[in-house]
Amino acid sequence: MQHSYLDKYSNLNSPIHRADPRLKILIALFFVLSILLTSSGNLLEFAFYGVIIASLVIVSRVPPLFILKRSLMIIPFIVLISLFLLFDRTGLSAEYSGGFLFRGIVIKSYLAILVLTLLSSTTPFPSILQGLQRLKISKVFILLLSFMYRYIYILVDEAMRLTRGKRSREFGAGKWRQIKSTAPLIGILFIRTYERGEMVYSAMCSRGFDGTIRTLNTIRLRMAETMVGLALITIIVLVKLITNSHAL
Amino acid sequence: MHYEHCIEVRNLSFSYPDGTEALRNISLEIGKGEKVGIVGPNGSGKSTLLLHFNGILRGKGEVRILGKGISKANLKEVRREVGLVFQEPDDQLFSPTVFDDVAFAPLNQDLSAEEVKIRVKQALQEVGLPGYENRSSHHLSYGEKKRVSIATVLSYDPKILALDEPTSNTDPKNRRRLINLLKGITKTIIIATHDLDLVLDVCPRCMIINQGEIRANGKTEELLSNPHLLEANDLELPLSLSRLQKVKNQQKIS
Ligand SMILES: Nc1ncnc2c1ncn2[C@@H]1O[C@H](COP(=O)(O)OP(=O)(O)OP(=O)(O)O)[C@@H](O)[C@H]1O
Ligand SMILES: [Mg+2]
Repeated sequence: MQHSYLDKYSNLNSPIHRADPRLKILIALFFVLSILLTSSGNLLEFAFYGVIIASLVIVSRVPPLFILKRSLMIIPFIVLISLFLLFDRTGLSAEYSGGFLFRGIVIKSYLAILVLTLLSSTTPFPSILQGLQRLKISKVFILLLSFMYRYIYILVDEAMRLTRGKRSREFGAGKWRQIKSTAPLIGILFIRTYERGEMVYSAMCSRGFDGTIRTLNTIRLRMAETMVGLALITIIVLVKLITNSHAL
Repeated sequence: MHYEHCIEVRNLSFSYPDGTEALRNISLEIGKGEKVGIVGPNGSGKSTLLLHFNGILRGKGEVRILGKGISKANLKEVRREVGLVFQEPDDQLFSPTVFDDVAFAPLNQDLSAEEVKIRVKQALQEVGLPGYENRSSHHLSYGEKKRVSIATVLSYDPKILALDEPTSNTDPKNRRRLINLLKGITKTIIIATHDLDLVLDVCPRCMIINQGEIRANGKTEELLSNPHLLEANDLELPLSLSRLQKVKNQQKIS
């Protein structure tokens, strides 16, 4: 079945795609942190970050429209969560009104999401996992992510097949009956997932799994990449310094 | 030919937790280097039987692998010797990339990085998927998944191969490649399948299993050319033989 994949375009060939995932993860993290630590009113700083992201997107050759669409999907959630700020009147000075904070949060989150979307569109998920592992993130956590990535589509497929099978046979049934017959479906999905888990564990044991996860290291940090990465971090720091000294 | 026993099953019975009696009093022997086909209709217990060969399921009765009874203590050893390919490739392939999956068992044997890479390359070559290392498992077609599944056990070189439906959904050319591969391998091979022509081609001996019981056990050519036996067990003559039969009948008429 067709899905829009988590990491579509992650197999293109650009300098960003080729770079060491560890480097990319660290830079993305640094970038997101600097975005989040920007004061809500500093529009100039936000603009600079936007320009940096835009240039990275161009270098990466990922269609900008794709990044835009992907990142927009998250906006409703952010708006929903921060909506209450608009009506908040307690303990805020006139300068920091609710609307002001709301705008700041939406911009910050959106920029951060853009950075992460760029990361996931330029790095295949398995490489991100390998990067995380090399950055000494807990192996259990990585294994969890890896199963999620492997089976989420199958789960979606399974759910789709179940509902399709149900729809094609429930003609004529009333609305209430249709809703009632959905409940067992969820149960079946749960059981199938559970049984799949058992089988997968058996498959792992069959091939000598003993609780430790072994992987082969295939990533290597290149000098040139590191330099470019450092340059990028320097630019971000400079943007922060300049835009903030201006404000003072 | 005299074989020393590789797999020995004595009075094995197994019921699933819901009470389904999947195997009833099964006894069989498979010799070293022998290639045996297990055929039977849907739900006859083929997959259940294979899952006993490396201790994933443990029924009543005895299963001995290379002379040793399967116990908790030697489970790891047994699994090292028996390479099992599940019927459902999505159970078999659990890693994000093809490479990770084919390398899983060799890595668990603590082989060197170089050796692991060579093994993976070779195994993928053998199933006709060279260069598939970096593909994501969930992007593969069913037939490709099935072939990668087979590569995941070829890569660690077990003494016994137990394959559940190895040719399901593979295209004719790759089915042929698989058959040639299986014919060329000198290991002990057990194949559970509906592909009777595959059995006819690869396995000198076969067993017919139905409703959890072994109904026949003997030379493949004799069993699979016996229409009454096959019919009694909800099976049909293999295509290649039924065509032959037709030709013979026509000759008789003319
Ligand atoms: N997890 C399970 N729980 C309960 N019953 C099961 C389970 N798995 C299989 N069975 C039942 O056990 C019997 C044997 O199943 P098995 O999968 O071994 O058959 P099979 O010969 O491999 O069939 P197929 O040709 O369809 O693959 C069937 O009646 C099946 O319904
Ligand atoms: Mg089966």
